[in-house]
Amino acid sequence: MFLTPGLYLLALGFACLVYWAVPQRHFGLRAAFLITFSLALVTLYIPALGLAVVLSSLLAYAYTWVQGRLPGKWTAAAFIAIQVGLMLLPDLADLSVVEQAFTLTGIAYFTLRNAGFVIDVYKQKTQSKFSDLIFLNVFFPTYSAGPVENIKTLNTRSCDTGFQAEFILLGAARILVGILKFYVVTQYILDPVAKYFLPNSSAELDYSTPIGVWASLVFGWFSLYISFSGYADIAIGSSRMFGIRVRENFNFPIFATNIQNFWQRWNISIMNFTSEYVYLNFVRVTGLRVGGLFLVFLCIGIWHHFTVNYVIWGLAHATAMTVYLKLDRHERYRAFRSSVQSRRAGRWGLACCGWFLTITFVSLLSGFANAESLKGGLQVLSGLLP
Amino acid sequence: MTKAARLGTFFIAFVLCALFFGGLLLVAERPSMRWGLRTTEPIYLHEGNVDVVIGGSSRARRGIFGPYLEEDLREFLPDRDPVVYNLGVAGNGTDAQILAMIELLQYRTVDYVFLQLDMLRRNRPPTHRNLQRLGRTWDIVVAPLQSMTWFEALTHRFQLLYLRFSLAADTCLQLGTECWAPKLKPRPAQTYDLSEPRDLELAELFKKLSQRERRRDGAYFLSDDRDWRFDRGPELRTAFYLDLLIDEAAKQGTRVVLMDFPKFEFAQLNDRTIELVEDRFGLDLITFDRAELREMGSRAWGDFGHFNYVGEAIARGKIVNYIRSEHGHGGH
Repeated sequence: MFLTPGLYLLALGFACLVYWAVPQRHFGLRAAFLITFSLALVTLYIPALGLAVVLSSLLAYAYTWVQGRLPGKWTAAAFIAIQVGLMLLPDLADLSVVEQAFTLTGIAYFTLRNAGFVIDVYKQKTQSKFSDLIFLNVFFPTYSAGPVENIKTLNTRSCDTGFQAEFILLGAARILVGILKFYVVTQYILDPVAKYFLPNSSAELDYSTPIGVWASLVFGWFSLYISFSGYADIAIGSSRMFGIRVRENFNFPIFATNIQNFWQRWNISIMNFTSEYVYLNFVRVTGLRVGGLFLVFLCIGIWHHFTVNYVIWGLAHATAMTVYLKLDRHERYRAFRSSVQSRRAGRWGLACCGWFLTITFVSLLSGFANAESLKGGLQVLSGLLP
Repeated sequence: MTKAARLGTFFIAFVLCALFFGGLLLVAERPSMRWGLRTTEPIYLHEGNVDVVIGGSSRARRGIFGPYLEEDLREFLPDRDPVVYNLGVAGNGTDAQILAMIELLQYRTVDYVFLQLDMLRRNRPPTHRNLQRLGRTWDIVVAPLQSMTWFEALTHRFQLLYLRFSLAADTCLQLGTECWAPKLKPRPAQTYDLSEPRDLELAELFKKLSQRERRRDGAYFLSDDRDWRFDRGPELRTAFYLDLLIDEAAKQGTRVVLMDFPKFEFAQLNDRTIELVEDRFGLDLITFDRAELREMGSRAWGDFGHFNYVGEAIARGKIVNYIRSEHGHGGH
């Protein structure tokens, strides 16, 4: 979260008061207020980020003007490349000021949304104004960590809603759930448990048992999930208080019994976004489904961080997904699965095995990807060896 | 919507945002909010004159124990209870430390200010980590950040303001705190356990000594071989705030004295530096000479940076001696 809890809640309360005080027919004023207010919060937090979000949006919006004069896929590709370049800037730049200004959360989200906007304009799916784009990018509940929306689902027209008390009640309840997850469950339960097994990360690896390392990675991932989903709850609840519905981001990935099921439940908004803008377009052009899968996960990995660890993370997930999908379509495996699932114990046993393997796989990869370097990541994984 | 209507819409939105942030700044401006959380002295409960104010970092905070100094000052003020405030704020950076004292001078009559001297040294952060708490908004806006590029200074200033908004908002949402309370509730003064000496860890000490062997100057202490210049970087910032304090003190008739709180085994002030400070600011200095430090050895420090009860007594004795000499000369 890019604002402190107090500032966030106070800003949310004030914004809600102003927002609902403005009549529905003046929804443009509501949108203008949310844009100005959100931009002020972002700029105050880091001035360069405010500048970057405006600049990035202007560059994306410039495509609507350029498209009429220089139509063609290469122009669109160039504008997408600009957004990708901005997205990777924090990982590539070596300047202290840039580091300070850009390594903070948010840049990956608004550049991604802008890239999506360029694709939508190229495919003539939108004729949105600049105010719609800047609204999409700076709307403060979803600014720094999603859920990822696109211009078709979140724009200034989203403010054209009448007041209903349930918006406030349901939104507040959802925010409470998020706060509970984000500040209580993660900080007081899961993080201490993960640290109990591995107090000082890689420094303690030599003194930990493989089970200790495994438990630390699993609890570390679980903590990441709870805090991330808590943040999503806060963002969804806050948006709801403005009468704006944004996508759900998680659907209990902790209960996933296979890798495909996991990605249907984990970070749903980014999966939908990449499916719509990367996978479908790639498969439509090339016809290569497996290639599309690898491309999607590579993009998601690089989007997280432009590091070797995250590239490997993406490739590993793509490989696991491909293997699972191939296996799932294999007749002998399907027959075996049907025979096992015909009994209740077998059904439960298979689900438990699948759950254990899935959670272990994603936890280990998460621990590997979040290590400081490739060597550090390998050290983490080697800690699992007896 | 016409262009004028669109601009008007954004102007209204801007005004509404300005109301929010301006309101937060007004809340954060309240002295009880800025000071209440950072000082243990009952500044709001006591409204009389203050005899001595100690300022500086944690070394000043822990270097002088106010109640003991009050006892010592009874010698000069037999007819009333002396009042000593220790406004030492842990952390590096002269701005917050001096601004706290300047603000006190504006509300109270103060006789003496003893300001920790060696915080004038190099390698300090651009601003104290509590500037956004202790200073006024205007102090943040005009904080001298000349050694930074304009972009870094802009970023730094915005972050200070952001922290200030956050402070106000976070405090406002905690019911019953200084934000809404009409008056500060009394809180127990912070006390230090001075009954037991806190010896240095010898192993650590020998390790440090062996590392410093080649750079050593003299039997125990290093000397500061760098010239101080008050026209650049951290020294310029320090001079800026010190000049503000000196001006305010001159208006109020307060005597400002600079005082050295030495670190164990760290660089000491050399004569040239002392002379330079005296020439630049025209203030009295209380220092520890090398013979004194050698005699004190390790028994005066609780750790490498802070005095223990032995060091505190020595430092306090220097302040008492200074005030005694002033009284002897018909001073305050």
